[in-house]
Amino acid sequence: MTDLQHSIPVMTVTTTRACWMRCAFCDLSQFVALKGGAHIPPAVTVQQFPDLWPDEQWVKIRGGLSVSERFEYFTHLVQALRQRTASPIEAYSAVELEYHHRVSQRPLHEMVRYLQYAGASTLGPGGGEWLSDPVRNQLSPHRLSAQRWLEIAQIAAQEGLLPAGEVVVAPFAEDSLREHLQMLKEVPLAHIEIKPLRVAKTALTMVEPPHLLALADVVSTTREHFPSLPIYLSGPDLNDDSRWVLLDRGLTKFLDPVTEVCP
Amino acid sequence: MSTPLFWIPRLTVDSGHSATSAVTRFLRWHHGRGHVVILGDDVHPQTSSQAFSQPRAGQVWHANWPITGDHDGPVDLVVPADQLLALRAKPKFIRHLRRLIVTRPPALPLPELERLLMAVPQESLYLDWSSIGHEAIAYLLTKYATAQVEGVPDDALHLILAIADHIHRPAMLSDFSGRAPVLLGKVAMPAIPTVSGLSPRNLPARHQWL
Repeated sequence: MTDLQHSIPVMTVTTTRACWMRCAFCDLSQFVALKGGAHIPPAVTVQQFPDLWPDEQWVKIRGGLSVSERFEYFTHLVQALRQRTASPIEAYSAVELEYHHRVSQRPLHEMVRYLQYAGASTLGPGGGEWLSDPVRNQLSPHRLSAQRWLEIAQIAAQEGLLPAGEVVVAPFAEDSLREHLQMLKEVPLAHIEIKPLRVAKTALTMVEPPHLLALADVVSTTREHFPSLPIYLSGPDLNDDSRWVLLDRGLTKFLDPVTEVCP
Repeated sequence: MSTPLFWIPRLTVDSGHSATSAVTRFLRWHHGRGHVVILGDDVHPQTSSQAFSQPRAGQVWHANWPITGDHDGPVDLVVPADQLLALRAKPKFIRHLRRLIVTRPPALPLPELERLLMAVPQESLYLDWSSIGHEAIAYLLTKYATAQVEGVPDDALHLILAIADHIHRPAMLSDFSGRAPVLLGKVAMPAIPTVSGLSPRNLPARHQWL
């Protein structure tokens, strides 16, 4: 069932070595020491990308907040990727936009237009965007608030760069799922990406990964809220039975990573 | 109340002296509960009509498909899913089924398996753990509220507990001896685990960037 009818091959690009936000669910969240003006080379360079890849292979760029990378670094990378492929590029998220907006005092509308001009097709959802402040305050207290995420996603949509929504499936977020989906309905979305909580190399290693039936329930609930929107699932390596169960519940396709570019 | 999901530990042994100690050990490890299948030539693979008289008091035949002849007592029957339609041609046999243990032939897709299961009596349905796979079993148990699982090994107990938790059926250790089942439970985890240094108590409500 890993044919193109049910699967979208994805190249994932990580453009930051470490992120200072220290979100409990993220494997990028390590303590980053300031290096007192020492030059730190960019985490990822254009030379690391393959020259060409198939148009059906999506590109997902994951950012992160680092003191050493400026906004232009991100837009130049998107531009370089766009010159090599016509495939959809999902770039960064409201988290990076808010950070660079505050650091460089640039208007958000302008930053969104830059991303779009560079070649981004959609704005990424972010790493673990539970739109419920009680959950965010516990797991990612340095992250922007749920309301702010929504505002930035709406700005991106106004500029024509549709954001992707995200549902992270975790046992402690079950109660807030409907609240989360209700908030997502307040912005036009390109698609929704469902992600089981990844616990490897994070502070949540003691949490059990979500069960297939929990994933299936989340897919069903999401489909009830968004009857016609594409709903994708990314992350785990699932067998054919699991894939069939999730497609049966209303999933559109699986985002299957095939290439990874990281620092 | 929903039907319990029984975990029935199974031990398969050859008949003979050495089996006795293995059975004793096996039962001791499982709170005195367990299902012992004793292999013998007269029930596998082709069974004569005479073989289906009760083997001994307290024992039930455990037979593999295909079945020939007739029978006059309860039987546990192991049938590949793609033979379930053929089983329907033996209504007298179905009437005496204590358990219908369905296995999944390799490469049989899950939707096809689900369709085939609709053809058989649900009250005696047991799904074979090793051939069907735990993901497919989890899905099928959401469809068949009284179905049970056969052959769950000790090291997969946590998987069956997780499934029972999701489908809201109590998980119980049991067998066919008539002894009371033992309720099995999961160890509760904290709602939102935190680690020291990341505890909400150590952090402000929300960090303000600028």
